Amino acid sequence: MATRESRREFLKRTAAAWSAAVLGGLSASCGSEVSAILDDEGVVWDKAPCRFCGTGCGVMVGVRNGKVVAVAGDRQNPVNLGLLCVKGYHLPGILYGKDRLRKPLVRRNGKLEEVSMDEALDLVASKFKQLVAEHGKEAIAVYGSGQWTIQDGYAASKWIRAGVGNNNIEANARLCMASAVTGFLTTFGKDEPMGCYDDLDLADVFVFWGNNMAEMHPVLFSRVRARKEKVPQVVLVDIATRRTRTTEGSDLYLEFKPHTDLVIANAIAHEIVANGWVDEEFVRRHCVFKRGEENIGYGLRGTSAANPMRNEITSFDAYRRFLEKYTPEYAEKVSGVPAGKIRQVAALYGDPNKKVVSLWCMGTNQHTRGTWMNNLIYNIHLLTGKISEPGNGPFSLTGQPSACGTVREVGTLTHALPGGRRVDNPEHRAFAAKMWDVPVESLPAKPSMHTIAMFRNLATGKLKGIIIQVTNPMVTLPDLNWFKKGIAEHKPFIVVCDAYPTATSEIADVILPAAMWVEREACFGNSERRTQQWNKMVEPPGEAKPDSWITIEIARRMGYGKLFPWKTEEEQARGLYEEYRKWTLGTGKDVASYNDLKRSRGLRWPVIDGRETRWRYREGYDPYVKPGEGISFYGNKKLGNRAVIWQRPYQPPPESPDEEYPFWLTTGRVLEHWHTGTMTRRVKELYQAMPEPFVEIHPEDARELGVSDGALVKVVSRRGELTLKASVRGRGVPQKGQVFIPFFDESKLPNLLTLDAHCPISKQPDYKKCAVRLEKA
Amino acid sequence: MMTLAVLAILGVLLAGCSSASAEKESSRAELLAARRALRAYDGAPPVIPHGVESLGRTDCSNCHEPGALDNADRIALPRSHPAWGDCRQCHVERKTEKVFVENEVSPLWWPVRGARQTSISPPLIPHHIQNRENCAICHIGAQAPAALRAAHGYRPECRQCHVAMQRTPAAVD
Repeated sequence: MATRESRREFLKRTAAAWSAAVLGGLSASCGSEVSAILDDEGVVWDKAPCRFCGTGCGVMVGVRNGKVVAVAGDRQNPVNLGLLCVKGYHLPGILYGKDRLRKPLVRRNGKLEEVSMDEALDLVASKFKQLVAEHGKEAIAVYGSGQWTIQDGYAASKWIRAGVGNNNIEANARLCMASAVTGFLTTFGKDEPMGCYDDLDLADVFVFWGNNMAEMHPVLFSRVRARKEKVPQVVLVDIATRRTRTTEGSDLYLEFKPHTDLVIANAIAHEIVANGWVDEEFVRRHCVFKRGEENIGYGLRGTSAANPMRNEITSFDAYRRFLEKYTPEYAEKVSGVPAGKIRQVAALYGDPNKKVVSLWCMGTNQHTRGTWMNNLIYNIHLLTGKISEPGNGPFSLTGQPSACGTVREVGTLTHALPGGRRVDNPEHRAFAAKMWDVPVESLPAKPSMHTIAMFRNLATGKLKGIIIQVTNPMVTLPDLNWFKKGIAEHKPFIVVCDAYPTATSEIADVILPAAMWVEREACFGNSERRTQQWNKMVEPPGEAKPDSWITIEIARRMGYGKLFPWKTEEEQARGLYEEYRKWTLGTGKDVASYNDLKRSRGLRWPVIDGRETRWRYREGYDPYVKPGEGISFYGNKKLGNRAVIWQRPYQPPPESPDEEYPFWLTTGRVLEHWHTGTMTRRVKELYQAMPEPFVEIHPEDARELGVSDGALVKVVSRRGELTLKASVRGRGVPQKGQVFIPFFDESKLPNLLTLDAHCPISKQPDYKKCAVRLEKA
Repeated sequence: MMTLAVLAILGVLLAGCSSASAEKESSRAELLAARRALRAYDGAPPVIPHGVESLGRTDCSNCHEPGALDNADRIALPRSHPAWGDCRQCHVERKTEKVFVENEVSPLWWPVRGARQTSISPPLIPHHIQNRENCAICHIGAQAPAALRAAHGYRPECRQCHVAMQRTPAAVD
């Protein structure tokens, strides 16, 4: 200790601290060198991305005596430059809830019994083999999440497709950003944002579309606020259905009736066209116009509709005619937003001297017209040419740490293969067969089930077995009662891998304890295409293991060991990643090498010769754009590298308030808890800050109902009911005729009320809109 | 001779200080215990020890900007780091004393006192300074608790004499 050291040692140490500071300041990518300058209090620090949202903040993790004892914001990570949110600062606690799952559990005669990992894995593998032998390859499935690491997702995809031989893989990201994916694909032919977080430091106008960024992406919102602080004339526009902390921080608030954002976006485009704010040259050279199938339904059980992907190329003239109806006055009538405010926002988008960033997340994606809504935001940026350049662009935010890195990039959805490939493309299948060294005939050519279909099949007995990793569908599926009843009736074989008991582990036949976050080595990919790696820093409790290790062990026991030649966990982490990386090279989604990731704070793909890309599709920034091309939306090769401006009309939602159920129900999240709360509710500070969910009611509605803040209110829909305390004039204030309920508490499930209607293109459910009535409880 | 004289003076000074410093020491221990009660570990943002939404106190800067609430009875601690925009994205209320599930996290607490080379050399900084860059908040001036206040009063550059006790990576501090 310092008290006893000699002056010489003291000076040496001070010098080391100085050189560390200087080194650190000079290079943002000297990550693993930090171990050389460890302090001597016994705390060892190493970098990791945060475990929670898609922002991907850099965290320095302090470990002493084999435990995570502290975290600090990573000053060298360009995502957050040392700042975290309250969840990030409380990361250590998520590992140490007293009820961590430490041993595998098997349900026998209705009771959970502890067994060894070997016994549990043998049981799972033999049961899966038996189900396949009895009912065919399609009998089993795997369901994961955007919290799957890249390694976990790749192992699961390889096991189910190249091993079992079906495409029965989905992830909860289907419930979260599928509409963002289909939005990108239908407009640009390639998934994920063209811009990056650097845009937040450069824009003059920020438009939030149904997005409470202040609570859901707080560190990025701080970056926006810092921009405003620096340049006071920067304008923040909140377009939403409910007043939130984002509204408090914004300059302009447009409150629209739920679902009418489609009209507002078209009205903004109408103004841009009508006022001559179109960047004619950009549109002529880089865009095409399309009209899609419009009779697409809402994906409800027992309904059918036309193929939602059908489309035809039209023209600027046709688009102009389509827009004629969407005057600001018409939009005011439908949405309730004053025409003048819509004109004001259109003028901000249209001003050639203002750089504009649009941001959105669940409000736009969890929408029965989610794909269309994504398309409509792109329309505005394409018409004005404000895209793919510093400070200008549409930016789709994500809610999970690797929704992008794993679900979208590795491709853990039924149709997807790594590198943006698809199972229904023969060339892509041939490539997959070569990569995985399996006969091409063994790879099924058709996507099988999207998430809602997967759980409908589980609830109707068509799907016989499933392994669920790192997600909690018994909280997150819409219209939960229906699924629960069916699953109880048909008793499919359910395996759940998780760190804590959850509402989903309650229905499991086998529960496998999972190693989480820095208890294992792996990678995440964040919202701005940044892949980040971290090392194993502490041992997981008991027999807990990484999901990828569990998948590989089940695969081995089923006879697919050849697919996974790596032995140790460390070899698996590197081996799975490096094999996956080969799929990405040359596709425009080239991820960084494992060594580069180990020594950096992450790199944004495409990474060519070790160099990352900040703005895609623009010459000088994106190495895939050839000299002289200027702009190339090279995802749309068949359209001459042009992006699509879509005619997407307003259509009403499948269920709207009526006399019997007069209120809109919108569900969502709060700052303190992350998704279903299985981690954050176990952290003292976070639980104590937000101990229970509530139903937010507009003050006038509360008065009419005769309830005040804190009174019990029963919320009833056609599907279920739930009693909660009223929140009147709380942190968020819904519009008149709307209520809001957060979903973090598994004992108070708003998904008993919601409807399983979804966007027919993305198959993502709409958790933001259904009809309910309120009763004094 | 000279040396002896210096030692004698020092001895008198130290003896004179001893009871005052014992008092200071105990109030320091109380202070640090109270401080810990508000945090998950050293370096975590403190929870808000008073009501916010329930009291309609929604603008933290009313009291927590330097000099905003600074009178003999009530001194609100100004923030020790730059303004990040929204205080409550890191600082949250404590609405209940209950927990959902017990948690066995073992928090990091830095030593309560910075080590000194000799009894008269400046103490090292015993804690991280991330988000505590403004030393004055806790160590200089009227709002600083007596137990932590620097005996020498204000000097412009704290860190030319006080250096970090821990060798932490630059990414942390």
